[in-house]
Amino acid sequence: MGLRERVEKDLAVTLEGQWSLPVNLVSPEGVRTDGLRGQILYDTVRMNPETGEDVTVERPVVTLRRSSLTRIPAPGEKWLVEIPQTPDETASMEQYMISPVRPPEGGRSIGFIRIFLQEVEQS
Amino acid sequence: MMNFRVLQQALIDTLGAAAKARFRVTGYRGQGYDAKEVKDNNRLVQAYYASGDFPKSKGRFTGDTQHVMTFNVDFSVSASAKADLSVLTDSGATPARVQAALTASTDAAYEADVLLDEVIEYAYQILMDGRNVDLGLPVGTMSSRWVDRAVKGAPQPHGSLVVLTGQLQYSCQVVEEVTGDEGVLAGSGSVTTQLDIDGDDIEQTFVDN
Repeated sequence: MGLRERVEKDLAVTLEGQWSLPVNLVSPEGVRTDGLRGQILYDTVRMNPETGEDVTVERPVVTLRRSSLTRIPAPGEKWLVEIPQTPDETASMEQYMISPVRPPEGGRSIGFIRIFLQEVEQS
Repeated sequence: MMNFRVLQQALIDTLGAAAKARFRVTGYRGQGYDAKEVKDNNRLVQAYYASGDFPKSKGRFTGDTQHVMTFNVDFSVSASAKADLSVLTDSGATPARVQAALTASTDAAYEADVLLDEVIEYAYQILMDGRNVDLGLPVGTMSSRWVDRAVKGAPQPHGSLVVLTGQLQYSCQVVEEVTGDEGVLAGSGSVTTQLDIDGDDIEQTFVDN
């Protein structure tokens, strides 16, 4: 087994193992995929360009294993993403859209995809 | 108090009185706002004195001066995307319905743009309304009021929200009276001095001036 292949298999533990949280996806075609597992970072640290200060920003980032997805989100597509409101397995699910200004990223060679989310509310 | 300060307050009062919960007015240039705060407060409007010119008449060194001033009226709005979540979260909805709901969803930048356009329109109409030509001040206090310019910023993603800022520049003219500096009134503080008087054994004689 090659190193890349081994790393991809490790994602079953590092991304979808005990630290993972439930993630549901709805593709632009309206196909719902429930029961995915992934890592969710709820806050990120960014620098305020005006002051140089580090600020904690509420911006959930979801990392999923590509091989667990039947369809990979492409930049510019409208996807609905459901994640728990808090890092708790039993928390109620909250809806987000994939951010149109921050396309999904991730190394295809490593086998994960990182998705940046945008809040959504009832129209 | 110089007239530009009176006018700034009148500008804030005029916008605030006409806001009717459509936006919130603050009278100073605030520090950075959190996107959540702006979103929870609907639209945020900040009105403040930005610049002024004091044209000098030839040969004049004293007396009242013209003050041509500009006020900035800054807007901050914050929005999230919108979609029909009742369909998107319905596990019984057909893929076609879900697809239609996703297609009809709007981007947060678009929602923020709509909010900003609305608040610019509100503020412009309030400021250019004939009834507000004097901002509620006595007739003759100010003249030549005009909204010169509207500027819209670029949408910025702030966390999971999008923030958009804009600005109206409002100019007018007043006469400033030069009253001179009034200085600072002397305080009533005291100076306590201990005197070393011969024969005052315990040296507790104080003079309070």
